[in-house]
Amino acid sequence: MRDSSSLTANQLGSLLIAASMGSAIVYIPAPLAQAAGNGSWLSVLAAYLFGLAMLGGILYLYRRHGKEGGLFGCCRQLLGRVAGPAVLVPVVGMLFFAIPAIVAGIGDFFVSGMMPRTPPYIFCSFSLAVSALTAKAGSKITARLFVMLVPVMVVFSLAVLILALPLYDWGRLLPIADKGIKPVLHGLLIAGGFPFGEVFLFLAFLPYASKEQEKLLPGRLIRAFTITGVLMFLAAICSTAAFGAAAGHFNYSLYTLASNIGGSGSSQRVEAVIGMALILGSYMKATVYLLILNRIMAQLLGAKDESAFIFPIALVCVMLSLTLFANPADFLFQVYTVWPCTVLGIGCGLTLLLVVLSWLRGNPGSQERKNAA
Amino acid sequence: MTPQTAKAPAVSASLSSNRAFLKRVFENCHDISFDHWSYGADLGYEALSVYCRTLVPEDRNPYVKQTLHDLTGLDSGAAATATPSAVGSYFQSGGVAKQGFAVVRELSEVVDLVLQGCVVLFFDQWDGALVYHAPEIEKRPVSEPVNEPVVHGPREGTVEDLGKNLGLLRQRIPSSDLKIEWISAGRLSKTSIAFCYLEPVVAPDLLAEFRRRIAGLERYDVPETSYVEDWIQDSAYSPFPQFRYTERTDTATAALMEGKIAVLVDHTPSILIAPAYLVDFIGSSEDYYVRTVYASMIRLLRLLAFSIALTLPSIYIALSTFHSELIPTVLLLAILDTREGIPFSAFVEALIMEISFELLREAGIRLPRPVGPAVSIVGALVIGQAAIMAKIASPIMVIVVALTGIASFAIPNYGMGIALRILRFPYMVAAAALGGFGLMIAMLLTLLHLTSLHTLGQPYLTSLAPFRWKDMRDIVVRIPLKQLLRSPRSRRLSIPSNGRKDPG
Repeated sequence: MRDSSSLTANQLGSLLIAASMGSAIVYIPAPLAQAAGNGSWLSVLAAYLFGLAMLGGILYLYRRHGKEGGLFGCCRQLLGRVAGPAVLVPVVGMLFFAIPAIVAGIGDFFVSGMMPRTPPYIFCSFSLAVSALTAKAGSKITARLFVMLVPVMVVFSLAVLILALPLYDWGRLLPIADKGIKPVLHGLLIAGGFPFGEVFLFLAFLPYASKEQEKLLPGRLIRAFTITGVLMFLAAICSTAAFGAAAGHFNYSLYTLASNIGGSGSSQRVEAVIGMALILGSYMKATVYLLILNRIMAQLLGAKDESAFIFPIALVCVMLSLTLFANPADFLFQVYTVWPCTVLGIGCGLTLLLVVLSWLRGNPGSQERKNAA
Repeated sequence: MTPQTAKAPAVSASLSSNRAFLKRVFENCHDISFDHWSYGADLGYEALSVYCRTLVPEDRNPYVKQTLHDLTGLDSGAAATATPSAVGSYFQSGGVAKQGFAVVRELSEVVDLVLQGCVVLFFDQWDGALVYHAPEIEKRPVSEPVNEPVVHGPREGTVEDLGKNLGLLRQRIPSSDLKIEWISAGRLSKTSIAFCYLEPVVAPDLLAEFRRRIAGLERYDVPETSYVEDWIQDSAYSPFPQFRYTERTDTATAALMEGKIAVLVDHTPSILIAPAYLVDFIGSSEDYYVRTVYASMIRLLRLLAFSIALTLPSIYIALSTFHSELIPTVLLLAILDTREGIPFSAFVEALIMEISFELLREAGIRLPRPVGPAVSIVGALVIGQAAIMAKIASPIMVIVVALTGIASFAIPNYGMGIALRILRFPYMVAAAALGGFGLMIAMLLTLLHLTSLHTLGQPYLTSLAPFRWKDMRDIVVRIPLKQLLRSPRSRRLSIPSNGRKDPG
């Protein structure tokens, strides 16, 4: 990366919001409502707590292994020179799925609503081109840019939720967990994987943290993650309050919510705002994942130029975004069923393994002292 | 005094030899005068004065008399009995003389000085020359800058004379902290370039970076300040200006006090202020001369003007071409009604009107001053009306283009206005091709470019990215000066008070 200087705690916080929330705020209320019914907000709450535990795990790993840590460094230190890089291969595969899925989401959104006659590849290729250019500019520039864009996305989303106040019927939230605890657990499985469990990938970014702000880092990251949690929670609870049982049937429930604001032909047309929030969120998430994937690949293959893989990865991802999903139903299945399970099974499992191994091995410093004694 | 240009003979004790050399150098330069004089007892000694007639006024050339007068009443003896050796020894040992006087030994230096408007005196039997600084060319007097008029505030502007401009600045900051450094640029033009800064305020790394960048400019001719900008800027192909220009001494002074570096070039009134961040282009010096509420309102209005000037035509194109469902029904019907019978798409319509507007604006600038405004007003009215009647453009498009034009005039900096004018066209293309999505892509690319851009090595979006809440008090609004002076944007300017550490 051209500008490889360190990132402040606030910048990392913005990157975390961008990576964890991204476009999920527009997507996630619908499948959650479908799976968990009125208890979707409970699923979000539980998934947030699970994500918080994952965040604690990666912060623990970072504290133990420091600058040499990161996803690649921790795997190599704790699993060895062969097994360490080997376990990252599925993670690379996951990212090669996630990035195309993010940009395919933009394509689906526009083709199904605002611009039905434009082919999806236009949206995918342009979005990814901008993401690739941003990633190529370096992590510092990306972080600076996202510090400006994340508040815009948050304000847009909040504005829609506030403007839709007249649509809410809080009685629709009752009965809580109308179909029992199992649907709520199903919701937890979905939201725990997408987006909260994905936080494990952020371990790749932690070595960029500024040395001077290391003490501030856990607090700022937890705060950023909580902002994501609160917004997700609000999106889920507001969708249910507005649409009740029908919330699960709208693909983009926040967009539907926005289009119903001031209905009956008045002059308020705020759904464009959600379109902008979705583009912003997807763009930021794709950029962060592109940076992470590029970094892991550069470390795996020992590339001298740290940004060498950005454009090739982007090209491959554009092609995958056009071929990976046979139809919208297939997209929904892969994103809301396969992906959360993969995140929980591979990503969170790997993080847990690393945390346990690191804990068992004890403090590297004290181990060395013991050996010396 | 300028550095010597090449190896040349030293000043000879023989007057004829010196004269022959200079005659050869100044061959066919008919504005160079060679005047012969006699002095001393029985007018037995010869002297020669050389000067450029077009630079030195007629009443300034009796310097021989002045020289001899300097000797009068001193140990060297009376003027009537002065000898070449007396003249030489008096001036060489630093005798009292007129201000702007020097002794030179090299003929190449003599050539340079004559061309800079000095009078050079040679005395027979003395191997030195006396130089008097005497240029005087009629220049524009100090007046209000045409490009930066204010309703309230000083009317003092810079002129085409570097010395006078520096004097104006020095008058405003009579402190030894105001440092002025000089360089001379160009083999032919030998233009003087001065850069000034306030030593306790300017960041040392910024100053070092500026010095590093300006090094090497000496080799090239610099007719205007923009050459310096081109030499030291970070990105030549960016449409965004990376430095500010001003002709107002109060603006330059305020910039110096904020820790900026001011660059002045001889023969041009433009002062270059480096570095300039994006947020600097939103402010005007007058914001600090009016009441807080009004200044804050104007700042907000400028921010609105900034976004209108950049995006309004493209938003109109995107909405009318791709997202008509987002336009309120009544307005949509009104738009459709006015667009009926127009053979062009919204994009082509906007392009025609925008290009016409740009042509009118450019023509208005180039035409003689009494004619220019009349032509632009008449052109705008006639062409606008005729375009609507001929069904080339709809009234709503005329409103959009006019509003965009007015918004771009509301931006206080001309360079930034040009940047927005340039960017408006790719935005329109993006909106015409991909609607709102294209517009978003264009905006993201612009933001990415702005975030990557630097000015003198500093982030161009300083105050925005990295974001500083505190700076918004002097960007989005303008808080009362009392608070702003107590804790200004530049921490180096902070006045130490209870609970505040001295930053210096």
